Amino acid sequence: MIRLPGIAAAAALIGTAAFAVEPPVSPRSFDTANDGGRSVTVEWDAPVPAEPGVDVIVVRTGADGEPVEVGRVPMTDGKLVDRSGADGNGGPENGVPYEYRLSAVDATGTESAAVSAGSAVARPQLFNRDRFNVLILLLLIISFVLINVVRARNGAKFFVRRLAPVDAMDEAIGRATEMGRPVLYVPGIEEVEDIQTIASMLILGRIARKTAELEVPLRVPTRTPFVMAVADEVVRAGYMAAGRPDAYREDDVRFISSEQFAYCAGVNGMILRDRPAANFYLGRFFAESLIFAETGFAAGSIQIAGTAEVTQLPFFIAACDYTLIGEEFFAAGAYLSQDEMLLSTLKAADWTKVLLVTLLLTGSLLMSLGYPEFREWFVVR
Amino acid sequence: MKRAVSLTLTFIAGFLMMADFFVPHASFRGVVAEVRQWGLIVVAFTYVLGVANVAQVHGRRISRRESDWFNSIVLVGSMAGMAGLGIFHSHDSPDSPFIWLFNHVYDPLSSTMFALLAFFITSAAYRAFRARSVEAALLLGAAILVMLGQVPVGAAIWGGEDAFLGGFPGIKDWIMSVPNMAAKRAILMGAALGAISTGIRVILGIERAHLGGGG
Amino acid sequence: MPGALLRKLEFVDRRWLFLMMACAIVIPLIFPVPLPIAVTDMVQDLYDSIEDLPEGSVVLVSVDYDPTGKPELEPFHVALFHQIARKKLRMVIVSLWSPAPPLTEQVIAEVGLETTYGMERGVDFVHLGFKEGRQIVMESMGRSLRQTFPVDRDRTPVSEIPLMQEVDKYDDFAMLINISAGSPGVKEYVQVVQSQYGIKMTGACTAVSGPDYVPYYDSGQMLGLAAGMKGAAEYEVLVGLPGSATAGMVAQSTTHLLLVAFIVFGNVMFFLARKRRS
Repeated sequence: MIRLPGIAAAAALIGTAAFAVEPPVSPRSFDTANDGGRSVTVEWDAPVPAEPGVDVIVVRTGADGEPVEVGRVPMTDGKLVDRSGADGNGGPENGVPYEYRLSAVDATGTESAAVSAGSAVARPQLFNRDRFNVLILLLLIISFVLINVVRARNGAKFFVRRLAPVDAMDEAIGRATEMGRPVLYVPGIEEVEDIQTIASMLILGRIARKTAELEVPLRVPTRTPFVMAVADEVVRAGYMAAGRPDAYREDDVRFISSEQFAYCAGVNGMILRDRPAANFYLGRFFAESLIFAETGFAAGSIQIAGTAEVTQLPFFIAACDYTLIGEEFFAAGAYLSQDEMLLSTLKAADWTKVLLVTLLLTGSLLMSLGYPEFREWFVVR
Repeated sequence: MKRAVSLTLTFIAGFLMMADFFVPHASFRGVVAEVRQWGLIVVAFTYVLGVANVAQVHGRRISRRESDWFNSIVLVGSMAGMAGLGIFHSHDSPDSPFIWLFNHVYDPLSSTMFALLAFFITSAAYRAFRARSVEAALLLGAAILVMLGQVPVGAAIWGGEDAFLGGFPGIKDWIMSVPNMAAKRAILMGAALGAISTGIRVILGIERAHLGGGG
Repeated sequence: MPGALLRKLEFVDRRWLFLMMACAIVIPLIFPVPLPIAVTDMVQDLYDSIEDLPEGSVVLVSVDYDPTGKPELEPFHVALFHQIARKKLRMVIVSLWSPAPPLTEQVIAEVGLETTYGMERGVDFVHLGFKEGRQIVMESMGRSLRQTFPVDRDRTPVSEIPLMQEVDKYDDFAMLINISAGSPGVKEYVQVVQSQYGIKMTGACTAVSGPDYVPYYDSGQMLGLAAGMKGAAEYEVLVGLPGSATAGMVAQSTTHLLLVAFIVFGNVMFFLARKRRS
């Protein structure tokens, strides 16, 4: 212990009282990684022992020498990101060096001495390295697709197991022909950018061609106008491909309503009035799925459903004659075409599944043996 | 030519959206945000198409006096009425006609349609839950256990902290969080793979059925 | 049992089923029987997380349901506003579903935020209304709430609203509470907002979506979750204001029992008929 002379001791006490709050320890500033620029991260460690209720004030000084307070956060946060707002104002400019200084302030307003976190320059990055793992997986999947497409071009044949609902589609349309009743096709209730709606449009094209060949009316009620426009094009092209453009009726593809249950009521009305012989429910559905299916059952229609919406699958399975579950729905378009190029992509999906199962089993084993690091490779930030 | 343009646009749009996930650069993000805005604007315009389609279809029914043409009058009248009230009349106060119609017409009608589910589930369950096979028997057994575990009366019949396996609520929780969750995750993973495969097919132009005909 | 009768019972006209179901729903609502409602950990944690907030904290409430979600979500919505008002918390209300704002105003009136609790619009709570854009709006709110909603539902500029001068980003809120009937909703908020900004999050959802969101509670991304009418009933019990969810649980109990009875009856008839045919 060092004994200080009296006056020096008093001065030291006053000095300590003026800076009773400890400043943050090991402050540092650096360009925020993996971002679009105009952002600097300032980090620090809390002094030990950490005082409760203490905040850190971060001040930025640019070339103009004007200090700007960029934020005040609790000491325990350990970090503050200085970034521009949604309007593009307020943050650091790219390529310009800024000095950052930090000070601690307690609940009474007493502020510590400022400490320097050094200088940092904000820059935009071209690639988010945190997502490298996703890029690798995506490139792997794309390469599986391309490899199998090349194999298909070279004459390879791909086995795909029988999909009873898809085989039943021809039967259902045939039934409609015999009974002289229309076919109803409901493409789901989501917007056209939803992948399930896209998959539904792919199948609709083939169904439209078949119904045109067999001269069966095809009714397609849609919930959004955009889907109506796309479905209209798809059905029209299907009729053209069948050589029956004259048979196409504009009113058959129609917009009902963008409200979920108004659409449901409209489709129910179509089912009960037109009494279609075959109903196809292919796309993304929510609560209206069972209402469609039960009404179709009451009307005596054969019903084929397909969706990847897990919550609605049980209703379709209970109420419809055939149901495409999850990936079967996505595979249906390729299966219907019997085109080797399209079937090759199903093979690529199978390869990806094998890869995923292998990774899952490996990961489970390693985690069980106490090696959780493997899991970190698959975290998406 | 039309097909080539469609395929090219599809590829560019798909590539941009995929790249957006990996490229944080503000300029690139700006381009993608702009494309998304275009998409929103196009969607907004298609609502004009939708209204025109409704008017056209039902206008034809009315003019030809087809069956149930009176319902078409009601529909077109409702559409025009609500649109007119929304556009030309203030609808900020709860007493405004628009809000009144929403609360007293749309709200109950919507709820009524939703309420049909209770009855349709009954008829579907009565028809479908028959023990025709081992799998069907497992299905109906699980359904019964979950239905009883989900409501207070099930816990009153067999439940509580001391009940074996937690009674109906405990068994229901296990069914929902173990076998149900496992099956759901498997379906979700398969569906996700199918979605990726479909997306890649469309973006690379391998799948063309959406452009017309058989692809 | 005579064959014709057996056939009739095996394939009962569904209108009889509908009639019995209607009775099972309506009678308990007219003559309610009190049923004990056990509170689950998920709902208890939800309640406690809001109770633990200091007085005066500002919470962000995203109301994302439509009239069809009312039976399951409105009871929670009502009880939530009661708890928020009692705790003297302040709130900013937004919606990503277009039918939600009028429903929110109905709840505000029913709870009596201004009349009973004396909360002042603009000072203690703000209703910013609906914004189209789904996840894009969620991301935009993270950058600036004021830029995303330049005016509130009554077209008052946010620059003139006192409460909005205190909050602009997710970091400014003590908690995000999402009342969700589907998409966009809980899943999108967890993926886009909670995981990126680390804001505390709780909420309510429909019963059919509940199992999908439980993993978010298990992982700690959500502090609590009230799923369906049952979750809402449990929450009403905790808030101390049994309402329509609690009453609805009786009807739900009778309908579930009736459904089980139908299934058992249908199977008995099925086996009898099969035995007779063989």
